[in-house]
Amino acid sequence: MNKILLMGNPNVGKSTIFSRITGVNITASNYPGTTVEFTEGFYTHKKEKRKIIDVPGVYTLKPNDPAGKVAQRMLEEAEQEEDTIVVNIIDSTNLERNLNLTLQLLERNVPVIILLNFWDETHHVGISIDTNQLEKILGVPVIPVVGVSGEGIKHFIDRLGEAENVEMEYAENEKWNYIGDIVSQVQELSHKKHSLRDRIEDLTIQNWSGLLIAVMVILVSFVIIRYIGEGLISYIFDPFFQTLWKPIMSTLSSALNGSGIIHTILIGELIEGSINFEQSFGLLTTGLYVPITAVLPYVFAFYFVLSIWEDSGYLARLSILLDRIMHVVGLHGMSFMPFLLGLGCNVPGALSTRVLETRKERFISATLMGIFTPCMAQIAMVIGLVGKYGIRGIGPIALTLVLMGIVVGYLMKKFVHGESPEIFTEIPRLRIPDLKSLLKKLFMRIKYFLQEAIPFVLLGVAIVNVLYSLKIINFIGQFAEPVVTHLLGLPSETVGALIMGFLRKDLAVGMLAPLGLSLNQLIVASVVLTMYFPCVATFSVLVRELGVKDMVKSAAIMVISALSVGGVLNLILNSF
Amino acid sequence: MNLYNTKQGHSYKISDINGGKGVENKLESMGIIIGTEVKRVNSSFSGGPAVIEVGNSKFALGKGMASKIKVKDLQ
Repeated sequence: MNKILLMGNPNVGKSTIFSRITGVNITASNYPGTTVEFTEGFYTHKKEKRKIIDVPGVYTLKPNDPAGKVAQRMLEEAEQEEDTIVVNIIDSTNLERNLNLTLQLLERNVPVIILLNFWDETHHVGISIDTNQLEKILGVPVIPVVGVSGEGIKHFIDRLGEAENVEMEYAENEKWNYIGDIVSQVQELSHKKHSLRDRIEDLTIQNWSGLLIAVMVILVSFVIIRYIGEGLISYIFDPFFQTLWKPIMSTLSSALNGSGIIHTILIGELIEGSINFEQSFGLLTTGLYVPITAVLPYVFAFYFVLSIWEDSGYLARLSILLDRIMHVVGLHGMSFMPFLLGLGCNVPGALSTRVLETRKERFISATLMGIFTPCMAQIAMVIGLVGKYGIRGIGPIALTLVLMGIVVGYLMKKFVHGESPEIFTEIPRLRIPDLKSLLKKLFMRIKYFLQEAIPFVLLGVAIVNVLYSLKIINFIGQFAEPVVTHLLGLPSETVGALIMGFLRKDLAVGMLAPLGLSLNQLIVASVVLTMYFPCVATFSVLVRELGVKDMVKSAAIMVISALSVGGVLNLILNSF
Repeated sequence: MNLYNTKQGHSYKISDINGGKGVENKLESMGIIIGTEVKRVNSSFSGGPAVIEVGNSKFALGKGMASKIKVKDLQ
């Protein structure tokens, strides 16, 4: 089968072109032995099926980072194969910089074809490129395209067979002169207009205007997430469970005579004689209701907004504005990503720490993310629990997590050995996100969430039921009571939720619901549940990423800070 | 003058880069070399990054890295 590698610098619109030519059957996977993610899909043309790989974006083939090494290895594999074509995607508005990678690709033993993406933007910025001349100089087909609209894509497919494996020779130390020569032969510049878009782009970066815009974007995003999340819950998912699923479950419950071991496992306890999806705690009731109805709508809403941030180019701008604050905790702007991803689910958050450069950075970001970043599943449940108190409920929880995150981060910066590198990144242009690639990414993330969440939730429900019926939780509760009751001011039944927190944080928060806690107790319990330990899925990733020794240190920091913050919070809240 | 101390909106030409091979290679791969013209987009704020425009691209550089790049004012 023919293989096609899409290669280019970061931010050249590779993913948009990838989703335009591939079908629905796409997968994201890690390159063997790395956590560098790449996507592959398929494309059928004239009954011929081709595999298309979206190679991580790189500026050069000299591998100096994990993504670069993966790109390098994929290219080496391609050189061994007969029929692999490299499609080099270039940002036409940055021809000079992009040609650096192009020349390196042309030197290799693979057929290459070049796409000049963002062709529609060239005349906005006053550039005209003679593609025929560029074709002549480089010896391979050069096709102008607009990934978002699909303009030129058909032409590209038609000419795919013309990809050429050429010989390229130039002196390495003369490379940029050579590139400059090519550019001067094919590109003409007219006066660049300073457009409204340029103005907005600058305002999002400059200090005060940038900060103001960031605050607005974040607030609007919260409102949108809440609106979509609550809307989906109250108009679609909850009515579905109440009107369609509940009768089926009630029938099943009666068929099982309303009690017995099978009833307890599948349906759970009847609350006031009927099934309560939040409290019954059976596999088919709470076990399905929590991940699908309470959590999935928020996860969907969060990833929808995050994907817009990413694909519009805003995320990079936010990272730059946050760079200064991240220095306080020994990190920089780009290491903001694990925290943002962690808000969706801690597992991808933990995985994304691998791309950070130094051990110190990885340790601090993984530990801080693990302690202070509640995942969307947990947030959704906390909102369900304390949302009715409004800002008085959510405010203290969020404030405590952010402030303590900064304090613990600052201490780690002071005491963890190693280097804190600096930010160095390209800032992509602001663009309207391409809906098709946005939806594909969203779909992949939701699929991943469901695959991860549902088995763990079901397992969690089963284990807790077993632990309760064997009275093991009561037993542990007696030992933990001094800490839970005296230090944290919570009833001893909370121990069950704390144990569940190792498996699933959302279920753990759900277990607080029937306990009739006061607002202060709910705040303390939510904060402690977030901080004291990551869930088992995150934990196993962290062990792999940090190693056992560092993970033990990290876990010690988590437990100590959770107990001290919880204790102090209990004192403060109850002294008002 | 180094790149970190440049003024928002002004254009400069890079005259020297002395940050060691690693930094030089990274910058080189993105087309930032001696002789490249850059425009400063933001102003330095309490150790925050310097944002520069090179051609039609923008880059953010940390204070340390930006301080190692010497520039000449083109104004």
